[in-house]
Amino acid sequence: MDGDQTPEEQIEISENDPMENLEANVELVSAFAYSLDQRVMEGCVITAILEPKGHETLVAVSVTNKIIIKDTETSLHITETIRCIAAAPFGEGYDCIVIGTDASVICYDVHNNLTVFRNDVPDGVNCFTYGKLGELDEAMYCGGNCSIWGFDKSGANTYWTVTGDQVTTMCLSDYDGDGETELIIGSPDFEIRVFKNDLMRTELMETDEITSLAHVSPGCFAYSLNNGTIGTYVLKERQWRIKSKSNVAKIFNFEEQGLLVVVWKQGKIDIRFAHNGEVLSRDSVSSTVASATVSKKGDDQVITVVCADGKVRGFTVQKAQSGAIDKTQQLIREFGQKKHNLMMELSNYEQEEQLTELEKDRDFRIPADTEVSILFAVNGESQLLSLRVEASNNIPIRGVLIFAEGLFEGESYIWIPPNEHQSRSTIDIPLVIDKDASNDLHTKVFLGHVDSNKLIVMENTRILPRFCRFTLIKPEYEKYFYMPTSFVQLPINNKVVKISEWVKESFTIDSQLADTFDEEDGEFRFMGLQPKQEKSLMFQFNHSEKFFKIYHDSIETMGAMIQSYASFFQIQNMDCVAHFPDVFKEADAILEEIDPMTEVRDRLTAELQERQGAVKEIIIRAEDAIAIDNIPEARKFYIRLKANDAAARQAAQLRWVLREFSANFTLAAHRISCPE
Amino acid sequence: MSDDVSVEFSGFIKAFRLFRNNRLSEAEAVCTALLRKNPLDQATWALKLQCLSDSTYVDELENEDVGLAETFLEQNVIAPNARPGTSFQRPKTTSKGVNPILRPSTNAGRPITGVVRPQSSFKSGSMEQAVRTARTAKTARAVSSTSARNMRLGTASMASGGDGEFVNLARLNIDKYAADPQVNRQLFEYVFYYVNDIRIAHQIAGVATKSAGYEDHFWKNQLAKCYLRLGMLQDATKQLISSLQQKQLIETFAFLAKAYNRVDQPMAALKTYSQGLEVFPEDVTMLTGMARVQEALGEYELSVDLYKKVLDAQSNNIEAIACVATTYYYGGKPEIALRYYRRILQMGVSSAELFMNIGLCCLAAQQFDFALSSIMRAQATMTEDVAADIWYNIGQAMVDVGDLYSASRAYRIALSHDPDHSESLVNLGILQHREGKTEEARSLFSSAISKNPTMFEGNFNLALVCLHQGKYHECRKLVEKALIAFPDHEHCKKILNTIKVLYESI
Repeated sequence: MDGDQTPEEQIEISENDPMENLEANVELVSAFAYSLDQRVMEGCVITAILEPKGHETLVAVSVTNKIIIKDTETSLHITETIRCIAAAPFGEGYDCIVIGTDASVICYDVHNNLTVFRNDVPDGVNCFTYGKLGELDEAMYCGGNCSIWGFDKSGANTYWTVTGDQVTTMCLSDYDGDGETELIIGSPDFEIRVFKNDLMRTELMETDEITSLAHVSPGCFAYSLNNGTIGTYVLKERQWRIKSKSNVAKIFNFEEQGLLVVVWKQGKIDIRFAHNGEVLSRDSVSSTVASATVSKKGDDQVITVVCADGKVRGFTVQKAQSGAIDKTQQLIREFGQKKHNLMMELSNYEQEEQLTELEKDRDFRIPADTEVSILFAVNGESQLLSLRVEASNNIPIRGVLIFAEGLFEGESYIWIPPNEHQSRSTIDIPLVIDKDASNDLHTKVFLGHVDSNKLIVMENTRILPRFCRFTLIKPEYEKYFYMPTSFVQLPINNKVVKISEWVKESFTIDSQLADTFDEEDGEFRFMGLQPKQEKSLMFQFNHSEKFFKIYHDSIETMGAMIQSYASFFQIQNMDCVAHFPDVFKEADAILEEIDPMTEVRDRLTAELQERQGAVKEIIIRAEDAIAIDNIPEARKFYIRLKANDAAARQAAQLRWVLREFSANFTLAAHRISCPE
Repeated sequence: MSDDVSVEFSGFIKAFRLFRNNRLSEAEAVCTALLRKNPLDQATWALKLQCLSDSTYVDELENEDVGLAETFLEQNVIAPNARPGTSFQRPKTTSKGVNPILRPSTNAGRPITGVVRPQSSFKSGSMEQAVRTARTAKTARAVSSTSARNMRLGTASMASGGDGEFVNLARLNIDKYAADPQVNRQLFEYVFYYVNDIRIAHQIAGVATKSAGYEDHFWKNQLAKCYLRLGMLQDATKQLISSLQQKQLIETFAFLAKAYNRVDQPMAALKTYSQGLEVFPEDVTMLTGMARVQEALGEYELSVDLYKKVLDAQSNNIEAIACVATTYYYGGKPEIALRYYRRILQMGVSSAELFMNIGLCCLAAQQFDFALSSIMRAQATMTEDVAADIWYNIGQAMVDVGDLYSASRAYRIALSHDPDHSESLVNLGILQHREGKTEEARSLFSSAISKNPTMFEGNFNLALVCLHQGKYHECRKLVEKALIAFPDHEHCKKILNTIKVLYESI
């Protein structure tokens, strides 16, 4: 077993925890171990039934871009770079391997040695999921760069939609418990998006890149983040989450329902209850985990963990023999800890009573009514939002600790005065925010006189409004207002009673000023704060014609704003007019350039292929010359080979550069084409 | 109607009529004369292009030359070691499969078929071995398919193009002409077949497809042809599939199957052929293709059934008749084979090979008088390139009648025609060994092996000699090689077992 059994796990369980008392005492038992003798690519491990009436076989991708199938001498060659792999029951009673590369999706039938289909996917495929989505038939869903494709058995395109960012992981699960599956995707922009058929239903904001998603039970799915967080959502609400220092390699549902297997990259394997994340049993492997899968072997389910160095370990789950004893031990230990803490607290009080007044004075006590106020402050000149921490009674602040997920690098921010004597009672902490997301700021302020050896800790929580990067502009800073060219026009309908409420919740604004939004027609100008200094915002109300215009240039922020507006007033449908001249101009330019680019790329590919043919031919000729001992001739051929090889390389490089270029272009085009 | 009124065509009409009558060189001459008068006449220009390309036209479907470079430096094959029976590299080796004693194999290691086809070559051993395998003018495999064609077509264009190249491709405005539907087809064929510049041809096809709004199946097929030549098999497959979605043509199905064959996915090829047969029932191209694939996979019964179906649809298909005949002959039914060969003869084919086959069938059917006359006729009509095979078969006939002295003379004559004829080498070796000339026999066997390393007989016979001489280690190696060619050979297994006992006793 490894040393750090519990890596500082912070568990957060929502109140409506169903606390079913599952009497399932289970433990992990090692079942088998062998080695594939090849280094395995991260995440590319599956099990599949490759022939009729066959057993589930392990299939992995080696770092050398070959597909290894366990117990066969063969390895499959794919010319393009493999990114992900999956199995789909497209054969008659067996699975086909579906391979996602940087340019296409290949469905290959190992049993019959035939390519079932091969479809081009621009920008490649990052992840797969197979199953039934909503009313559509079963299909393979491929997550690519900003787009999702669905292919059926024959390779026909059955599904296509766009999303705001790369798709790194997907699963099919019934998100809202309505009996139909939804497609849940995870992206590096911290968002989990839920698609009902081909329409986006919800976006769930998380605190880091989503690394994997797994269906658990109807209405429940599990997720993991790059920062080591795992958790579940049940019926639209997060049920629990646990944060650890390790990274998740794979999570999956195990033993019908109720259990969750979490395999960490560092080699740990946990079995947890799906309903509260509590660990039931754990084991570990010695090296870094590439991926893991669960397969059926007879009636048992086997967890196969594949390490990056090719070592494979199998685990099964069985009823624990010693589970009960362990539990009581643990309880006793917990109570012991609690008792110790209480005793400490008690002794503090006792000490206090024994102190004389003089001694109390020497302690530099701070007045009992000292308060710390935490406010948002805007520096208009530097267009900077900052958090103002102010202690009353002129007590110096000795340190501030802010914890906010995803806001600072490393999640928390510590402020300590450069030297003790510079402690002040008011400090400003600059906030530079990259995302439109509301956030909880948990602050701990340490107060105390400079010479005091005891500090008082004040805790406080503040909610950072979603659009805190905008503030109403003051007349003196009018010069920082840049009139946006793009706008969205929304109707003001009956549901919208008080816009001020929404503004108050979403923007950094004084509450008195916010009330002015409910008044008659007018324009409200907002100043963009760092890092959005040059992107201003303007609201224009026209109550008589019942519309409301938002002027802003960033399409992403605009999308978020409209979503927030709609969800605040619970509007289901809303007719909007959007006008983004710059973005459209950019998109047009890109589309115009893409067409000739593909043509040139095609031509370059043909040229490259011709050169490669020449290289191959010269190799054979040179070998031939060596075989008949004609060394001078062979030398000539090798010299020619060198020249041809250089030419082929150049052609390849040219093509590669062009490809990069067009990939960036299409990415930009995608980004533009999919505002919410 | 009076007979003396003769209409004399002139100018473009004349050229066109000559072209329609397939008098290509005359048509071309007329076009050249016309173009000299008016170099900007597009119709004449297009006609001349057509004349030139038709004179060097090759059926791309049958053109299956796969050079050494493509075979050994292949990158498109997904599974290099697929399940036996699903790959050309690993045909079935069970009892119904290849049996090298009942059915001899070719120099390239394939079982002999009724007709000679270029593609049927094994990827045996390493590249070095393939390079070392003797290649004479007759057995040479091209280094790569493009270079083979280049050489051949280079001579063709030199022969017909008197005053330099007709179209200067380097200075031609390809984008302009390729987009013009009046001339682009002719231009493409000229570049593809006559000039053989696949890259330019690809460019023309690309521009033409685009100007046709990506909806012309003809151009998709032409693009696929270019991709096939360039070795970009996946792109070829993609184009062909998209072409099939627009219009289902026999040619497209056949090309698609060919592309699958090239990436060693016979199952996919068979599937394509059956899809083609659903649209075009009893189509000869589809059936022949299927039969060839089955044959290469070692499924002779299925293959012969398919050839019979071909004959139902087209009773004068020589390839089908010859393949059925060969299978009957090696299946121990020479009389029936004889009837098929006679059918070919009736259709007006009279080659030395055919007479030799008839002779051999007669011999096997105990009709010695016919056999002798057929063999003599074969001998009288044979050309240099088949002489070795004819003399080898005469040697076989001599062995059958018991005249060993004449037999060994026949083998020697065969070897004088083709020093690399490994079968003759082996048989001569056997005769020498019978006479007690062991060392001579050994050297003949080993030279046969060096000419054709995959050959079963050479390896096995040398192994036998080694066994007699007590060279067990060498013997074991040879038997193992022989077993690769013929895994179920009982004698080899027995020898291996006896040697094993000896090894263990040490």
